Amino acid sequence: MRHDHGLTVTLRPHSTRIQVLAVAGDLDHHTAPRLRAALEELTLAPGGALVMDLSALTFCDSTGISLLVAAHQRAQDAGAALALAGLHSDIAHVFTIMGLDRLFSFYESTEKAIPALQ
Amino acid sequence: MTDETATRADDIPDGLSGIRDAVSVRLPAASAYLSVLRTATAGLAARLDFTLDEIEDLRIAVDEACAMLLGHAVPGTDLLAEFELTGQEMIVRVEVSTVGQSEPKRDDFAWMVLTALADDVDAVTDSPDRMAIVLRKRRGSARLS
Repeated sequence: MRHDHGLTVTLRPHSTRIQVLAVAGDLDHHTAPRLRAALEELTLAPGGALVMDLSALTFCDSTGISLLVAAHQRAQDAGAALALAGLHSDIAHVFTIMGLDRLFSFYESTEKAIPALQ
Repeated sequence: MTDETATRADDIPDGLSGIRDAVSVRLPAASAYLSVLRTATAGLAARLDFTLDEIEDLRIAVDEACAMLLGHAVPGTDLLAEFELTGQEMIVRVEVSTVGQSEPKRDDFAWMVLTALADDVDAVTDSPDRMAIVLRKRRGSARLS
């Protein structure tokens, strides 16, 4: 089925150490495998950092949140940092309810996250 | 029900207080259709003058309920969503056909999100081959956090 509300995942290496993964569209039960595959392909090295640019994310349910938590876990295991950037306030509400604001580092934008991770 | 419908027709200029409408949506029980149901949910909630925050909560709640059901649905069958709109609240019942299982898992992360976002959630088990979740969202109820 190709006629879903597209989820686009784009990897943009920023430097040798920092990678930016832009996630745009609806992240749900249906589109989550696409992000899961992209995350599995990523190489996270000790001292490295991953910024997930969520500024164009239009929907995120528990399936999506589980993936982000798994990414956080993977980054930690690899000794890398993970930052979430540009999350819309209406989507952030669910993160807050689930207590995830204590787990993740949130930044207003990718531009603000990158200097913090340097 | 008939009386209320008639009242509604007469009372439209008085605003939303008289609304008591029922809307049914039948879709293939496949995750590709979740986005369609979310759009329908948002459209119906907007009709009741829910706030944008409440609409978002409802959109996620309905999505979570359906995603939970889809894991148990018999392939090739339908998902039935019934929305009941009154002036103050929306009641949504989502239902799928299963094979001999009627209780969704309540220790699931999806169930946690669902119960946090809706005012009231219940799993209805009136048939062994159907699994249904009913959720309510009231307009203007306090939002968590």
